Amino acid sequence: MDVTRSSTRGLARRALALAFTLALAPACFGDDDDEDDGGWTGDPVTLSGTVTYDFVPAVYSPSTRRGTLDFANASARPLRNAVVQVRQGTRVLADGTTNEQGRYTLTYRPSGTGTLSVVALAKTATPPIQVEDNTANNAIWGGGDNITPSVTTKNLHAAHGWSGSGYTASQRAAAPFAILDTMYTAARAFMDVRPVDFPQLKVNWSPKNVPQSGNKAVGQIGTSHYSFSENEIYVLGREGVDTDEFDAHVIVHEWGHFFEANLSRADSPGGPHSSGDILDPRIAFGEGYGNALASIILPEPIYVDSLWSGSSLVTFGFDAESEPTPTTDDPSRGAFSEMSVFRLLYDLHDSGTNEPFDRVSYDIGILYDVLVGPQKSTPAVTTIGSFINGLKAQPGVNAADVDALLAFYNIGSITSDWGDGDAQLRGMYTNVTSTPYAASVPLRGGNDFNKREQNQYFVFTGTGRTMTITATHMKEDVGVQVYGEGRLLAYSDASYAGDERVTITTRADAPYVAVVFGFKETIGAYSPLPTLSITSE
Amino acid sequence: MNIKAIAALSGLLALTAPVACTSQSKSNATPTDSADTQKTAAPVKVDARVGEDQARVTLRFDAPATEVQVSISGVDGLEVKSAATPVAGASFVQDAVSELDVSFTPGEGQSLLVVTVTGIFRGTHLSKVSSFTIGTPTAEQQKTLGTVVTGDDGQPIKVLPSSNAE
Repeated sequence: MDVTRSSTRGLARRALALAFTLALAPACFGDDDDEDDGGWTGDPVTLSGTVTYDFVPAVYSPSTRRGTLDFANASARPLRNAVVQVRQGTRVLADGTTNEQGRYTLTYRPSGTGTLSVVALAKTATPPIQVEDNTANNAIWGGGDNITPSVTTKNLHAAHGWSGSGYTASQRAAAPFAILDTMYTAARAFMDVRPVDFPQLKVNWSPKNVPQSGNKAVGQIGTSHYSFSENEIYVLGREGVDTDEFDAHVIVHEWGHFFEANLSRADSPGGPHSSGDILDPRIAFGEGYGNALASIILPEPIYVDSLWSGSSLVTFGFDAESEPTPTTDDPSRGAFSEMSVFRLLYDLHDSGTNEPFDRVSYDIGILYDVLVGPQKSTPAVTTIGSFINGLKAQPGVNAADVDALLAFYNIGSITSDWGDGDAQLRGMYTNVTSTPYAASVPLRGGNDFNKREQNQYFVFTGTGRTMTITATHMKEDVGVQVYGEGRLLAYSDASYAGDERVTITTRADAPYVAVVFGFKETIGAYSPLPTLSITSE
Repeated sequence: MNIKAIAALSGLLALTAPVACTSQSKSNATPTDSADTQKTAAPVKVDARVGEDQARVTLRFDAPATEVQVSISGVDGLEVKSAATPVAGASFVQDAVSELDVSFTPGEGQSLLVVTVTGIFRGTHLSKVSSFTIGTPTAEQQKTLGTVVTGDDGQPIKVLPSSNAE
């Protein structure tokens, strides 16, 4: 890589100068030999160069439980497929994209007045991803330098800005490019094996983004997350608190949720989760899938997340390959554990040569086919059950080998999207044989709404007429969702007690799933149990 | 530092009482409210009631935890006057609640109180960081680094200098 990195001294001054010249057109170039007071004129100019950014590995050892952001081993990586522009004042004279080596070539014709500059944007063309500053009017991040028409080679480099004990704010340029390039890596992994038409993705990163809920426009984003309602990703960036731009697993994990929501399907209720939880199997799948995708694509089996603890930059993480010893991090293996789903999906892809229970190795194209095919269209809700049943239908997949892997993770031999073959997962679903229907719902309180005990699924058949689904508890807060035709059709959680009712128009003989969920905070069964009724006009 | 529930005592109480304290202020998040995915974090809810120079931090453990360390720090000039690590090596049972009184000197304008909880939760080493805003930002703090420029293509951009800029 022909990258020449010069001293970073004076960058703050140059940042101001560059911003000033970009903002004020025409700018004064009176000291420049290549121009006259009337501005630039002349023949077309061809400018080329390489765009790079600092990538900092996040490291963690499960055995010592220690790690950090390893700035000593930071490396300059090419910024691939990124938009590069030559600007004169506020005018864009030429634009193009970098190639897989970060190289660009642009031909432009300077004219009139205004400072010339070349800017690499944190934006890729294919797939369309752009990293914006949610605390600065959603401006796209960029890195650049001023040029003159006599310049024909201009390399650009975005530095991490770490000075040894903290970031120098004006030099912290690599962050948005690291996020962009990691997501590009994730997208390319699928684009290399299948034709994929990704929709636009906007990612929000700011050095002001903090783990505090509130106004996202000032950086209060809660945590790094994918927002289903906005279809955008937010990434933490506050030094001294929590930064995620170099936590590649976190970045790919959240990108995985974007993939799910746009190309596959995500029925996850969201909310807090961690290893050891006995989760609703929808979120167990979604979170385990996100972690597995990161470990498969990067490829690096150890998930790492960095953060500040006091003045120390530390990490935590977990290994896709194996559970820690002597104390496991997956005490309740099965379809309700995100760690089981995480390692199961990873094992479906990796070679598994040293694991007798792992006789499979399916490429990411097969995983893609399942995600955009049967997982998306399942009449059930999205769990490891629907995924495995879809996987078994793919050419070249050996069901017996998959079952051997499932057994290791305490999951039965799945034979349907509904979890047949695994008694615990199948037990999530109750078949409604006729309408009108009324039943008690055996929920238990004491955990968040997204845990297994707070959820129960009911499968009913459409009548071709309008149907009403009502979940009721007179003292406790309950809610109801209805899935059908491959998506969430209706939802109600309006009050803290009483009826939650939705009405849907159904297709005759089509399957629908009603999910009844609760929020009871005290431990134990609801007393009395919530009720569900399903009626048809 | 006036620690209402010092680490050892808090941990001991937590271990001896299966439900040491049940908070009635548990947020009643709904799937609609919280459908956003969240990155993996320690299963502990962190809340704080903050004043000008003190805060009461409440920790609710949603899973049993051992080797718990709580670090209190500040950014943007906030200096913690009470213990920086009020909890170290403590254990908590599920649903245990611990309250910590924290005193600090705020930074000029707006500053942040930062609470980091690290521990072993059901066998997994996990952490969670939460921040709490103190004060209101000065005019200088409301500025963002760099300048946002909108070109003739209508797209605002925010440019930082290349490190090999000349």
